[in-house]
Amino acid sequence: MNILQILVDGLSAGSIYILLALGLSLVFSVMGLINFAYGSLIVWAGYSAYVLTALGLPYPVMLAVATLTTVLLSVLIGRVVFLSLSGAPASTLLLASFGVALALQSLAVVTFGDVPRVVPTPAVMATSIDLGFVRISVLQVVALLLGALVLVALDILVNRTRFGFEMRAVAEDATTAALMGVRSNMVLLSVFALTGLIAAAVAFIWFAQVGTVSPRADFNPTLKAFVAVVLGGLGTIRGAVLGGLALGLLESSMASLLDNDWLAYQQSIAFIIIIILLILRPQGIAGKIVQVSK
Amino acid sequence: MKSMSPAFVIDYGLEPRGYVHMVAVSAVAAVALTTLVIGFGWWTNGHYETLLSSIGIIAVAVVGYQVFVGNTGIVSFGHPAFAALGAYTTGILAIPTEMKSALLPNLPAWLSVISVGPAAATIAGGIVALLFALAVGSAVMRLSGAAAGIMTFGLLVITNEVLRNATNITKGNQTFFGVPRSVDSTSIYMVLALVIVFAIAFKYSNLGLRARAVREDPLAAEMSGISIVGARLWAWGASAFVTGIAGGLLAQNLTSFSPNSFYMNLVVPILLMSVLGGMNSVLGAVAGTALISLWQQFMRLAEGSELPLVGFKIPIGISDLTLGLALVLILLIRPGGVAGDFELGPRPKRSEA
Repeated sequence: MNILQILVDGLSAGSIYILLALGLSLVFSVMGLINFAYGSLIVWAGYSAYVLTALGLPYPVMLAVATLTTVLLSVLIGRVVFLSLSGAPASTLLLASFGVALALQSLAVVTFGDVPRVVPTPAVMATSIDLGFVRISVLQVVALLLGALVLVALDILVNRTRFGFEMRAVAEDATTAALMGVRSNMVLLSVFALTGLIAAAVAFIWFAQVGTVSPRADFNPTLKAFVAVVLGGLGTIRGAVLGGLALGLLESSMASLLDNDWLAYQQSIAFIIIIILLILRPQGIAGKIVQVSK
Repeated sequence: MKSMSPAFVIDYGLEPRGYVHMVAVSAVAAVALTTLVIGFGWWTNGHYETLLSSIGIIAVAVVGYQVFVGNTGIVSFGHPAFAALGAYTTGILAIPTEMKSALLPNLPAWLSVISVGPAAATIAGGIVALLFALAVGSAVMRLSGAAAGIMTFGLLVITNEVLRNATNITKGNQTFFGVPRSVDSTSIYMVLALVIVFAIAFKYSNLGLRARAVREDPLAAEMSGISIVGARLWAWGASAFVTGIAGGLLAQNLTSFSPNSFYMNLVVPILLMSVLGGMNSVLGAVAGTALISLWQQFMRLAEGSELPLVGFKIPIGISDLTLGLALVLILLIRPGGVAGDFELGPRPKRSEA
């Protein structure tokens, strides 16, 4: 039982979950949408990587184009579906995103079939460094760095720039923000672009871990993102970070503490812990008290 | 600014006479529907028996779903979990004791000596689903709408994982089979009629009215002395019971099933039927079920085959694609669904709040 190992594994998994939770939470904060289609963005980032590689693009160019595709897809969906529904009740938005997820998933089945497709990853990512007291893979280091990078960049963007200011204004009160001259549609679309960017970053690490993409691969990222945001509290960056970290550490400690019989119930245990937490603290670890009527 | 979604409008309570009138109308309509379907089955010599049965069962599930979603406005992704509990409970109870040692050798002793008739087994399925709902409900129902939706999804994940791993009782990932086939379209549609009347009776009862008041404005409802968690919990429990019954019927109609019969591929049709028909209406639940079922049946025939009119092969997956797009389109064009909040029967007074 190596506590340091649990910590390293938990932190690196946690940084992926933080990114997932951030993507979900950002959109929620500005328009109250819980995006079921978030995992689909990640899947389509994987498919773009597959297609672009098949077209013969070198790895760095492929990464850039795949990222751009994911951002465009996110903005497109935001523009066509969610912007038209802005102001609708949360349940309508949630259902619409479920429809989008279903459509994107079946589109993947129609286009690529159910066979898993290889998403290329540089071989170096799979190597791991043994420091004697702890073992860490290059992928884990990259995940940690990417997580930290996105967090710092996001913090600057949200707190130090005019765009961040407008975003917070829309999140606080969309109507008043619009009256003050904030073009809220532009803000919403920019947030969709931002979540597309984050989805691409997650996809990069996610598919480096699993190696292939298939139509139903959206389920796990969506589920992890959901768990992380509920655990941490919806709609705040702090909540996403705490929720993601908590989930990562919970999983890594379960993986090393539980035997196989119990490990089969991993997700259930995670959810039961969440349910207990929510009885004690319905708003999550760091969530705002949610306004009851809107 | 007018609200984007006029799906939900608050009703005033019906006077006692209006309530009886409403329930009576729904009973007449439900019996008429049942008679019509049974008559159709008889007229076609049972040719469509399988199709009718499966539509009837999913209709029970969707009406059960409406009891929760329509009255509380919380979207649930977890209802297949109730159907699963109902199905496995019914299955385990309905298999004759002499077959149990062969089919489920590792069953706990007290379960392996029990065997009950189809009706009792189905009701037991509903009760187990109800108990599960009540056990987790007080935690889930106190969340705000969106977070509650996510947690219902969590319930589905938990249930699926437990069913897949509790191999002694459920055979895990393997197919659970050997349930006696003891329902047919006649009994299924009789249950559906009962369930429709139950859904209407619940909706316009004080319990239903309280749940809908919380749905419209939790703050105002709580100020009027309504417990938010309590009001939602009644709808949640009633809905779980009906969905458990649907699961029990499913078990006895299919006779074999696996945990994945009650996962995402059951969430999708239930959600769609409910949204298309109109989440706020029992009539809508039935209409949505009929429409989507017929569409799915059409696509099932079309997929992978060459349509005479189109001239090219319809690839696998198109069916789900149409369903996903349909869901988005309905929400964009008519968020209240086909029926909106219309029910047969007297129109309650309402305020366009």
